[in-house]
Amino acid sequence: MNIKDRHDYDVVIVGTGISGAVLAATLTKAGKKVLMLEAGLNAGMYMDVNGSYTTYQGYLDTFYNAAAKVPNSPYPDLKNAQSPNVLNLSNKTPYSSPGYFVQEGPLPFASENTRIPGGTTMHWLGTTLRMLPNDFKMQTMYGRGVDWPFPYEEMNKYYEMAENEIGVSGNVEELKMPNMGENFFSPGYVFPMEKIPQSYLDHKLMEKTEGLKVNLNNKDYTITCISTPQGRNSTPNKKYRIQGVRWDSDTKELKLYDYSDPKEEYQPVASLWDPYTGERCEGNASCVPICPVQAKYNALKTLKKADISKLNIITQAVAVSVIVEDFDERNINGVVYKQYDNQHSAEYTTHVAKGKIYVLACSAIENAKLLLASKAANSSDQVGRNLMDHMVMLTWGLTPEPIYPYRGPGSTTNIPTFRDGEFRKEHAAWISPLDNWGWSWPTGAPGSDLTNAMNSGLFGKKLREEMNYIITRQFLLHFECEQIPEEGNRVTIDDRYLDRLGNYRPILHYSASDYMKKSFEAAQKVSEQIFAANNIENKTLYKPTDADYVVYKGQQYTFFGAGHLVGTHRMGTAPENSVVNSDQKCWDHDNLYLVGCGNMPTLGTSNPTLTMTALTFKAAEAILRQLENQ
Amino acid sequence: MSTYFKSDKPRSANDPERQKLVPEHLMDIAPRPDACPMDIKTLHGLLQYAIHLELTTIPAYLTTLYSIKEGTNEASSIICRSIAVEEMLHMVMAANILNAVGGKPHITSAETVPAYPAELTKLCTPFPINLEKFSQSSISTFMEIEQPHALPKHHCDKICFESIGDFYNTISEGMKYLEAEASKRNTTIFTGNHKLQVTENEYYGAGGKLIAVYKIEDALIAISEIVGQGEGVDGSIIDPDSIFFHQDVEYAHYYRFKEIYCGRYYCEQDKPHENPNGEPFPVDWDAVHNMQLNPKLSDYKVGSELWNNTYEFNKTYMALLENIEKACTGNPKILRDGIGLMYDLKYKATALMNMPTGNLDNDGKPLMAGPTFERI
Amino acid sequence: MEEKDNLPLFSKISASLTGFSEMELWGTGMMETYYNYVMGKCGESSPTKLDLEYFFEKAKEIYLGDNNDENWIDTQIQTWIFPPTSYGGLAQLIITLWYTGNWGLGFNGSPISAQAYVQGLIWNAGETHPSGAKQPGFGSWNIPPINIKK
Repeated sequence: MNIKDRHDYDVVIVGTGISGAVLAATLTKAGKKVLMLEAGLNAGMYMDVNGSYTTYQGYLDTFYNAAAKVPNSPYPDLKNAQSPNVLNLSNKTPYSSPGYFVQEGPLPFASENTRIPGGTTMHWLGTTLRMLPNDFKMQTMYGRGVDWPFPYEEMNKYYEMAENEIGVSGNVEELKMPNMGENFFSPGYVFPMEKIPQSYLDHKLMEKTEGLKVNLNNKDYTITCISTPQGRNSTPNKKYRIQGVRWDSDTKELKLYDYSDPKEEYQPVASLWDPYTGERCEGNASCVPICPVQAKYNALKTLKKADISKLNIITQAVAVSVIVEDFDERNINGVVYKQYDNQHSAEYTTHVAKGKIYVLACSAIENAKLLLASKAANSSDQVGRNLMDHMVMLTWGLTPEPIYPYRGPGSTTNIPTFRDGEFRKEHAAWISPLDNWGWSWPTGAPGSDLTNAMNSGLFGKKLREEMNYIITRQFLLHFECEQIPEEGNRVTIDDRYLDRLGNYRPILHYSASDYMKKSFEAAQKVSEQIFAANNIENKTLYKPTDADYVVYKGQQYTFFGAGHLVGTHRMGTAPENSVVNSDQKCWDHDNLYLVGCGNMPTLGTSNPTLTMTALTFKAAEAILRQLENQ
Repeated sequence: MSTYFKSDKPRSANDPERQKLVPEHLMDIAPRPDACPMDIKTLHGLLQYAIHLELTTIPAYLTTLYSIKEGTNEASSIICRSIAVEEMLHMVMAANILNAVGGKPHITSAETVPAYPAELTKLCTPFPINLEKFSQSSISTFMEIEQPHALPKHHCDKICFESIGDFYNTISEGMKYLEAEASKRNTTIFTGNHKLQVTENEYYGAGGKLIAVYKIEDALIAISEIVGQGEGVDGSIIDPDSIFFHQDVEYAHYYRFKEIYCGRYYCEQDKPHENPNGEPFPVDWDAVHNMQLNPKLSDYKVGSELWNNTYEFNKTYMALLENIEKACTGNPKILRDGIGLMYDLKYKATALMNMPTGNLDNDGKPLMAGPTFERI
Repeated sequence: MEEKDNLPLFSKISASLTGFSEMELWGTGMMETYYNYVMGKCGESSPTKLDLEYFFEKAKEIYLGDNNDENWIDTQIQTWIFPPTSYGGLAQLIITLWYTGNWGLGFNGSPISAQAYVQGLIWNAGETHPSGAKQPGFGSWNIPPINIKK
């Protein structure tokens, strides 16, 4: 082993996605020396004008040329640091090829992260809803899952930090959600930017859906529709006064601070290459997988704000394991990584990165894999377990009038009605985003519509008319069901399954319990009533060839992965039941922190990135405290 | 220290040249002792002409920009685009000033919307401005438009202007004079309704910060911004955006067009009268849609496909101008809807440039249709 | 025979097959690219060079004859050109190329170039724009699509 880089850093971070970037920016601005390891290509890390532009145009070109425009389609497919891809999904589990994930089943795990600079925020949708207070006490309230080690109230400050960092557009006053309580937001709180305009189809659907009474299992509910807060640029809100987050070394706290000059105000963070590009969402309708103008937040924007005199980044450096000190196993002594020069070659050199504190920030899957490979942090036997995702059941239909989908961000409105309630004792809660992109997700529309039209003999003007008719009327509704933590849904490793560099490939074990199946049935009942109220002709069709489906009471329900990879190293109240404590430090080690969605004990019904980012600020605070107490 | 952040642009934000670029006399609100008298009506007329002037350059610049084939001439495209959007900014700022001094901007009137080839008749030596594809000829015309001139000797019996800089300087001096006269009577010429101002909230992503005008100082900053972006200030090649707004340093228009002409960037040490000496970049004068010069709706048979497409382009153009007019006469928020029209205009223009007219140029190559930017 | 001789015919038949006018098709800037691509793609396997030759021969009959009636042309296309069994399925491949930029039907297709994807007419047909290109601007999705007709 060639041990170079003996340079001692305060903190070594594995991964440059949003959690790694938030840590790096926060820690370097507090004067700490940070080393980051990134598995992806060097070119992806450029933040200067020409470099960032060139790399990003390359991503865009790859996207245009891709046959299937799936979430990872724009980004390099690296043999030395593979990413999972939905195109490799099959319902014939178990299988280990094709693809990166070894799918043990019984159901394939259908979500994917991206192992490149900036991480999965390069392809995320950008929805930034907070979790609800009851999400933090699922066991106490509903006898399901576990409670978090702290209540919602403790998260508020960190949520505000995350919303500042990501740059959230939204309207606080519209966010009426079940059982959110009086103090969900700080008094007078606003988001950095005004809400992203809701789509034309949102308005058309809301006409008959807002206030609609639906019945579910003999109980009446009133449907509400609210605009969705999101991490993409809109008009700055003049009332927003928070400038940023900084470390107060006197009180040993991270603090939000306001603009001191009343003339200063929030500026949308534009693209990496040009301050005039991406100042507003331009409606490219391709947030997933790529925002051409970078109006959508990505983690490189945060990394660019780090104090670069304190930051070193090593790219094409794939972490292998952390070194657990022999003596009493309390300390981590380094991160072993393999560095490759050429992405097309399997050649690499091995190095060790050293620092006072180590942080794994490379996704729930990779974090768990690294810990298992290192035999670290696992006295609880919880590492890799409780893998969760939102199981997304989709329903779709044809509206009587054109609603003009395929325009604007993926979703601008959601139905929060079933995010919380007594029913969570019986079945999973869900959130229902209204989708702006037609039937593209479940059917491959509009391309598949063309095939259908030609198959029915249409060409010429009639074909054009039919395409106009069908494309302008496509409505898609999501039911993103909260998966509850279960021990058997997990990531494992095995010497039989290694990648080209000899690193472990993740083995996924995944299933849907009755708690989930019941929620699909319930969601179908709600969908039916919403479609009826809007005169939508149901076109939903689940097929036995679908990758992920369950059969419940004789009915098939197909679901998709939401891209929310959560819960493999849960945070908890004691070393016996969890991997990290509420500081997100491993119970088993004194200088190893884990950040990312893996820490979340339960999932809630919000997309996890905002909550994870909030948690990461909390971890940064804990790390700074530890460093300053040493 | 990480190397990923290095800026390899020849335009450093730490350029010491920036420091000496705040031309104090531009901000001095006192009129010159020998100021030329002007009445408010004349000022309104000049500001309305400023709108016409900017609206004359925009279609010319856009036509040249859109004629560049997709994926080619990247550097030239970026330059042309940035200048075109700055001219749009100037037009809206001119309207803001006109509103601020109690006038009413006209954007869609016959006098405002030029026909091509166009001439700026208030210039002492007018020259034709064409709708012309990307070529050495079109770029030299643009350099002529933006050509920096020393201000002519001060005198009050002007019947025409030596340059665009001279024209805007006359507006500045006129405003200072009128405001000084007004303040003697304890009043102001800045009587316009504040709600008429288009602010940066409605206007973004384009070439600088939009200045809302409520008082003489704002108006002077707006004008120096317009002139500075065009010709450069005080013999330096750097535009004043960087001083006011802390953006990356940008060169004034004349010099940026000259960069295209020479296929080479300026660098910080270059002097205004010299050719650029920075990094070269490729310019491919052939990777261009072969658009006919100054196309017109009347070139085509009424009802033919070329006529229909051209007509639709002009309808979109007029819808955009109407949108801007509404935005500048009481409904600033409506400008957001104009952005869609802007993009649509671009896509329609590009489509036209792919449509063969059936005519051939002197080299026997097929001539394409193009945007006509006509008032219909 | 010169390679470009059939370009005008390709333009006419493309218009009849897609329902977009010839000028609309030219407006995408893809006419010559697609023509050359189709010429290059027809080869040993289906559609073959021979398929292509017969295809243009039939197109000549339809367009260069005396009958300009649109309905008659449509019937001719429906009978002779459009069926997937005709000329190695060339007609539907051409329609798909214009609509999506893909060569190949359905999930077997992939874009022949980035521009081909961006210029796909399926988006125009659906009154929208290709995902990730031809952006319509901030807030445009809040109102129905711009529809400026004379």
